[in-house]
Amino acid sequence: MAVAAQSLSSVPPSRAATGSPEEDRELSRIFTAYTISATFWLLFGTAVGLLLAFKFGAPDFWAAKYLTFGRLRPIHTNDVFYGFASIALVGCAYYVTVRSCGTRLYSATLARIGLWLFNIAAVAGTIALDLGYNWGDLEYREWPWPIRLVFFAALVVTVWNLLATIARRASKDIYLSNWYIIGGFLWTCVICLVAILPWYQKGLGQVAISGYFMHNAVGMWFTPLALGLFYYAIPKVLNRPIYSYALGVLAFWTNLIFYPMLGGHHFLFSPLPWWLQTTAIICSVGMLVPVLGGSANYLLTMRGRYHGRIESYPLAFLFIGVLGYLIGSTQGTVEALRSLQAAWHFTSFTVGHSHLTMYGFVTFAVWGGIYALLPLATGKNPGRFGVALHFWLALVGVSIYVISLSIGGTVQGLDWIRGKPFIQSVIDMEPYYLWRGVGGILMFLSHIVFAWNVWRMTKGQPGNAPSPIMEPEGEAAA
Amino acid sequence: MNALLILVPITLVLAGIAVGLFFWAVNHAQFEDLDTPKILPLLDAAPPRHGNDDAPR
Amino acid sequence: MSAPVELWTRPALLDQVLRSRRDGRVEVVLRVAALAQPRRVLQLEQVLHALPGVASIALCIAARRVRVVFDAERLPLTQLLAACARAGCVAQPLQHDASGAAPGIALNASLKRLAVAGIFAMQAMMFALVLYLGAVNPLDPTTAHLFRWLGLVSAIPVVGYAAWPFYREALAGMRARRPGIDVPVALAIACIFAASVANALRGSGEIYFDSISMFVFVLLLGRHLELRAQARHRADGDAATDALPLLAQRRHADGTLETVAAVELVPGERVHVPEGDAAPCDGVLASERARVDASRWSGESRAVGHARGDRIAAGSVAVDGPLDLRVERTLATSSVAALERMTAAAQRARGLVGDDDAPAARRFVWRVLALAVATCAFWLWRDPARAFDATVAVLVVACPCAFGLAAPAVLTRSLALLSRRGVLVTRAAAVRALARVDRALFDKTGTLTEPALQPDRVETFRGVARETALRWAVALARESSHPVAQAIARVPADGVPLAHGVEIVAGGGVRGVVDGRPMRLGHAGFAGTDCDDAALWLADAQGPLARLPLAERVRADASACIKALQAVGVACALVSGDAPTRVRTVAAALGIAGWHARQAPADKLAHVRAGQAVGQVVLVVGDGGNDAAALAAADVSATPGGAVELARAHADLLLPAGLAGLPLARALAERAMQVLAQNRRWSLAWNLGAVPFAAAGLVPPWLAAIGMSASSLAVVLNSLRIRAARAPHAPPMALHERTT
Repeated sequence: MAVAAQSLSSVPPSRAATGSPEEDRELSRIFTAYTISATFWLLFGTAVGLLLAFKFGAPDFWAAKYLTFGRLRPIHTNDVFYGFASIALVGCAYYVTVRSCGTRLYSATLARIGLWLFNIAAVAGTIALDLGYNWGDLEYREWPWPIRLVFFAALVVTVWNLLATIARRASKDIYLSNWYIIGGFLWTCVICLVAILPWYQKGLGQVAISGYFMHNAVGMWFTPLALGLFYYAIPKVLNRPIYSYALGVLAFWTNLIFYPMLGGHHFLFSPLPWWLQTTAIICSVGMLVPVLGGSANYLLTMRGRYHGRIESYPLAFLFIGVLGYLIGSTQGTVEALRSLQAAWHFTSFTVGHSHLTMYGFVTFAVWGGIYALLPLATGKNPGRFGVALHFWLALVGVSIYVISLSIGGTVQGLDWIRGKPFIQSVIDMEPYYLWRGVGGILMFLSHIVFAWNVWRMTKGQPGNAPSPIMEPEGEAAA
Repeated sequence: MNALLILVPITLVLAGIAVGLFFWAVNHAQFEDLDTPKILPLLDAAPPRHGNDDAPR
Repeated sequence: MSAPVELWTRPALLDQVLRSRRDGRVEVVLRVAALAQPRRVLQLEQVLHALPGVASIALCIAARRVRVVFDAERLPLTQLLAACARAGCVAQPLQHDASGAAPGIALNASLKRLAVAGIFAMQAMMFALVLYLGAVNPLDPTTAHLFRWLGLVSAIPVVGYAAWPFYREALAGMRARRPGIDVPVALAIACIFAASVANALRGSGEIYFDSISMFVFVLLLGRHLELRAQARHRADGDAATDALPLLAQRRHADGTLETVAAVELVPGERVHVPEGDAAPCDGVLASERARVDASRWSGESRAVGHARGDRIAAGSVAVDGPLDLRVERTLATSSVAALERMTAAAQRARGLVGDDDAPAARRFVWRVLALAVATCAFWLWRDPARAFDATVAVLVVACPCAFGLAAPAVLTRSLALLSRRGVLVTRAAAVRALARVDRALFDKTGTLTEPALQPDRVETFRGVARETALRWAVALARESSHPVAQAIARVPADGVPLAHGVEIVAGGGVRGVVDGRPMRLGHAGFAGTDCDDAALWLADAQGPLARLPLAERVRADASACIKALQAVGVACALVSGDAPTRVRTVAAALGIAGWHARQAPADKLAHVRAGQAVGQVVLVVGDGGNDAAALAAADVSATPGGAVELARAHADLLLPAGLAGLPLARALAERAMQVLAQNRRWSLAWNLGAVPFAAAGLVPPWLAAIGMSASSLAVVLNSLRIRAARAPHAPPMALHERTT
C-alpha cells in the first residue's frame, strides 16, 4: 500500500491519478444524489408493488379508477426499472468509472443534468400511466414516447460523460468494469431507439420487437451494469484482486456474441415463426457459457473468505447478488426450453423469475455496491444493526416471494394443461398469493431500513459498522 | 415479418460494432497484459484505517 | 548498468535506440528489471502515460520490456528515463535492431482475425439454423431466400478477411514448390465459398456459409494458441540480447574516464569496466590481473582468473574489482555477436525444412481434386443439371476440417500435458521431431552435472563451529538463484536465520546481515581472500569465516534420463567444452560411449550437422551460450532449468523440473504421433466413406455440416486419449562425487 501511495504522488497533476479533495467531494455528492433518488423510487415503486400483491387476494380493495391493477402494474415495473435500478446503477457506475480510471469526473454538471432527466422521465411516466396515457400493452415500455425520449436523452448524456472520463484515465488498460458499463450503455441506446421508432411496430412485428426489447433491457442494461459493479466492488471489499481477469474479458466478449437474438423465447407457442423461437432457445443455452464463467470468477475471488460474509455485510449482499445471477440466469435458460415453457409461461412462475433476477441479482448487487462504495465516498458508515436488519428482511422476504410464486406458478400451469376451468386455477393460487404478500411486506420493510441506512451514510449521523474494506488475510503480513 | 427486416440488419450492424470495438481494444493494447489490470480497483485510495504492510518484498 | 541519464542526449546513442516511425514519432524499447511486481507495472504505466508526448505504451512483463512510442520533439528521451527512475523503475534503452519488429503485431492480427471469424461464424450459424429448421417446418420461400443472402453477408468478413493467412501461406507454399496443409484449406474455402455464392445468386442449390465460417474459426483458434505460446517464448528469449552493454567508459591518456556509446569505441582504445559490469567489446586485458564471469555465454558457472594480455569476450562480467581492456573488436564484430549470428543462421536453415504435414497434405489435396473433377465429369455426362451441386458436395464432404484439426488438437493436448509435467515446449513442431529422435548430444557442465557443496570438507576459521558457518552460508545462499548458491542452499541445516538487507552482486556473490553481522558469501575475491576457484568463501568484516569447497556432481536425474533414452534406441553422446579427463569420467559414470572434449561452439554445431547429414534426427541438450548454435540447428533442443538466457532462447523444450522430463516428453511425443496418425486415418476414412454419397448427390448440406462437426469432434476427443506416463520415480540422490 505504501508503494501505491507513492505511485499516486509521483504522477504529475496534469492527468492526475485521483482528483483533488474538492473533486472527490464533488463525486461523493453526485453518488449521494443518485443514491437518494434511487431510494425514493425504490420506496415508491415497491409500495405500489405491495398494493398490487394484495389486490390478488382482495381485488375490490381500493378499486378506484386511478388505483386499478391495470394502471398500477406498469407504474410498479417502470418505476423500479427506470427509477430505482437504473438511477442506482448509474450512480454506482459514476463512482466505479472515476475510481477505476484513477482520474476525475469529466463533468459534474452533465451528471446532474442526467439525474434530472432520469427523474423527470420517471415522474412524468408515473403521472401519465396513472392518468391512462400509455403506449399500449408493450411490456416495460408503456411510457408515452416523448417521456421515453427524455430517458433516452439521460442515457446519451451519461454515456458521453462516462466515455470522456474513461478517455482521461491514468493507466493504459481500461478496467473490465468500464467495458461492461460502456457496453451496457451503448447497447441500451440502440435498443431504446429500436423500441421507440414506430414504423414496424405493427402486428407480429410489434410482438417480436417487444420480446427483443424486454429481454435486452434486462440482459444488456441491468446485467452489464451490475456485473461491472461486481468486478469493482467484490475485489474492493475483499481487498484482493479478481480471480482471473482474463476469464472476465473472455466472458464479456462471449456475451456480445450470444445475446442479440435472445428475446424471441418470450413468445414460444405464439404466432411468431417456429424457427425464430428455436433460434432464441439455442442462444439461451449458449448464454450459459458467459454466465457460468462470470459466476465462477466471482465465487473464486471470494474463495477462502466465505466466513467474511458474516463480518462484512457488503460482501453478504454481493454474494447473494452473484448467487441470484447464477440461479436466475440458469433458470432463464431452463425456462426457455419448450417443454418447460409449455407449463410455466404466462403463469406466476415468470413473475417469480423476474423477481429472482431483478431483485435477487440486480437489487442485491445495487445494495452491495452502495454499502461497499458509498461509505468510501462519503466517509460515513451505516449502523451495523441497520444493515443486518436490511439484509435478513430482504433475503427472507424475496425467498418467500420467489418460492411461493414458483410453486404456485407450476400449480397454475398444470391446472391449465389439465384443462380445468380458469377460476379453479385462481382458487388454487390463493395461498400462494397470500405468501407472496407476506414476502412482499418483508421486502418493503427492508427498503424502509435501507432508506434509513442511506440517510446515515450521507446526511445523518454515521453508524457503528466497520469499514466496508475487509482486513487483508494473515498471509499478507509476511 | 417486417420486424425481421429491421432486427436482422441491426444484429449484423451490432456485430460490426462489436468487431470495431474489439479492434480498437486490440490496437490499444488492451489484451496484451491480462494480469496486471486486475489490481486497478485496489490502487486508488488505500484503506485509511491501518497501514497494512503487503508492500513488495 | 547504471548509466547517467544525461548521456542519452548524444546523437550516436540515440541513433541506436530510437527507431523513427512513419507517423513522425519515435519508438524506444526499454529494459526494466523491476517489472515483476504488478503494482510496479501499473505505477510505471501510469507515470509514462501521464508524460506529455507519449502516444502509446506496451509492456511485456515476461521480457521485462516496455515499448514506448512518443514524440521526440515534445519529450526528450532523458525525461522519459528520468520519469521511469522517479517511479522506482530504472530503465535502460535497448538497441532497436536487437529488439526486432514489434513482436505483438502478428499476435494482434491473429487475434483480430479470430474475433471476426468467431462473431460472424456465430451469425452465419444462426442464419443457417433457420434454414435447417426449414427442413422440419416449411419456410416460406421469400424468408428462405432472405436468409441465404444473410448467410452470404455474414460469411464475407470470415472468408474475405479472417481466412487471409491461409491464402497467403498457400500462395507462399506454392511459390516455394512446397505446398503444405494450407493449400487444401485455402482451396476448400475458396471453392466452397464460390459455389455457395453462385447458388445464393441462382436462388437454388445448397449453400455452406456456416460450415465454411466455422471451419475457418476452428483452424484459426488452433493457430492462435500456437502463436501465443511462441510469442511468450520469444519474450523470454529477448532477454538474451540485453546482456550486451550499450555504454562504455573510455579511459583517456591522462587516466580520466568518459562515458561513451559502445559503438563509438575504436580498436586500440582503452576501456574501463567497473566491477559488476559487462565488457562492452572483445579486448585484451590491460590490468594486471582480473577475474571475469563469462557464464552468460559459456555456461561455465565459475569466475575465471585472467592475467594481462589474455583475451576477454564481450559480455563477460568483471568480478572482484574493476578491470581495463584494450579494444580489439567492437561490439558489432565481437565474438558474442558472431555467436548470435551463427545461431540465427542455424535457426533460419532449420525453419526452411519445417512442416512434416506437407507431403501428406499434398497427397490429400490431389486426391480430393481428382475426386471432384471425376464427380463433375461423371455428372456432366449423366445429368449436367446436377453436376455443380454434386461437385460442391464432394468438396464440402472432403473438406479437410478434421484433417486440418488433427495436428493442432494433438499438439495442444500434448503441450498441456507436458507443461503439467514440468516440460515447457516453446516450438510445437518439436514434438513431432522428438518422436523420431535417434541421436542425442549432451553438454556436460550444468546439463548433466551440477555444482555441489562437500559439507564434510568445509573449513572454518577463527573458531567458528562448522554447523554455525553452514547455517550462515545457507541463510545467504538461499537468497540467490545462481546454481552455485542453490547448491549451498540445498544443504540440510536446522535453525537457519533470516538474512536482512540482502544484496546480490552480479558475478560476485551475496551480501547481507545474518545474526546481526554483515557477511558476504561468494567467490574468493568477493569475500576478500586470494584466488581460489574450487570453493566459495564466507566472510565478515574481519575476514574469512569459512571455506566451502565445491565439487561437480552428476545430476540425480541424469543417469535415469540417459538410460531411458538409450532404452528406446537413442544414441547418446557427450559433447563438452571441458577438459578430456573430466568429460571422460562423467561419460563413464553415465554409461555414455561417445564423448568429445574441448569442443568450441562451431564444433558442436558440426556434430549436429554431421548427424543430420547421415539422416539422423538429432536432439541437443545444453545450457550454455556456447551451445546456442547447436541448439538452434538441432531438430529438437532442450535446456535444463538453470540455463543461460541465450540457450533458453533457442531451446524447444525447457526442463525446469529437471532431466527426468526428457524421456517423459519423448514417450509422450511418440504416443502423440500415434494418435495423430490415427486422427489422420480417421479423417481420411470419413472423407472417403462419405464422398461416394456426396458424389451421388445424396448428402444435403445440413448432413454435411453435422458430419463435419462430428468428425472434428471425434478428432478432438481422440486427442484427449493422449496421457502422460506416471513421472518416473526419481532415484535417491546418488552422489557420484567428482572433485574438480
